[in-house]
Amino acid sequence: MRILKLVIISLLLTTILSCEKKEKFNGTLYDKPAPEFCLKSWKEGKEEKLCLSDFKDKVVLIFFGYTHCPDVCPAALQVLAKTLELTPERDRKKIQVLFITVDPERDTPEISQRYAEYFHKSFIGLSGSSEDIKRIAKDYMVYYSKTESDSKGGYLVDHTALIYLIHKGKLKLIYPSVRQKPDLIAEDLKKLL
Amino acid sequence: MGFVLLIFTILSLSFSQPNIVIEDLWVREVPPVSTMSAAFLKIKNTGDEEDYLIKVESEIAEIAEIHISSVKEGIIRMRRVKEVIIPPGQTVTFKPMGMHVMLINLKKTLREGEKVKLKFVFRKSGSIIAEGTVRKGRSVR
Repeated sequence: MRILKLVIISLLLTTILSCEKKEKFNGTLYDKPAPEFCLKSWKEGKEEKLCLSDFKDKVVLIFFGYTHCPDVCPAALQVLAKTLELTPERDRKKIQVLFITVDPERDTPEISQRYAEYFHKSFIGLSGSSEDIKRIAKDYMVYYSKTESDSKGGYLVDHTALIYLIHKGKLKLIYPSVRQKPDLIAEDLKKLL
Repeated sequence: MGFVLLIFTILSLSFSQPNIVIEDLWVREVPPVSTMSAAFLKIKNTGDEEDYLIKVESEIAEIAEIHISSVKEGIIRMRRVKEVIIPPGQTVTFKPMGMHVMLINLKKTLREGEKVKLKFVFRKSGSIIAEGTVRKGRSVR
């Protein structure tokens, strides 16, 4: 009886420990299927359809933002660029950063691409129709809303500033702004690659 | 007695005043395709009376406004602020994810290392011109 108890306890402990080990990420573990999407990219001077499934062999990092955003968006893309720098060169090819605009009215695929690639030449900027963006944002729990303000810079956009990590078809991890640090994301990537 | 009071008032008026010092001014480098940037700085008031930042001007942008970003439940909101109080003996910090000077309709591409000048207008202290550097920026926090 005592032996049986010991066996059960040790089995339970092993299970708990292995679960803990599995879930030890700096990003918040979400681990649900990543909704597929297709948007417009800008490649060699023309618009081109690009889908999430085009990167199924890579770890995809997504940031939703807009190019008129002077503070949070450049900071997040800079974090992602630094994350790549911290990743060994052989692993960088296995990572794809996507910048998806939530302001398709002003951000064309070309503007989105030129904005994104400025932070790192491998980054891809995406745009699409307002309907497409709306649907994808809903799938990814991204909130965004145009706010009319008395700013002379035109409208501002309130938006969720999360970084999403997609691995093997799953939306694996989500990084809220407090966790958006290159070393933290690079550490998670190391575990996944 | 009246004369003494008058002297006292004049003295207190001349001694009680804000003293504004601007430090650590930097402007975020943004992609050339972007027409917006933000400036960050510290405003120190070493005087013994409050002052108010009411306007910012810059040669590098058509418009400069004071904005504040805030995060609530994961959502970033940015709003315009009309004026900022600089209490006596305190430092107000304009930093990423907080208060910043929004530079709207940039007139030129900003490159890291470049020097930029901004004019800060205070209600009591008047205009103060400060020079800062363009930087690639820091992480969110």
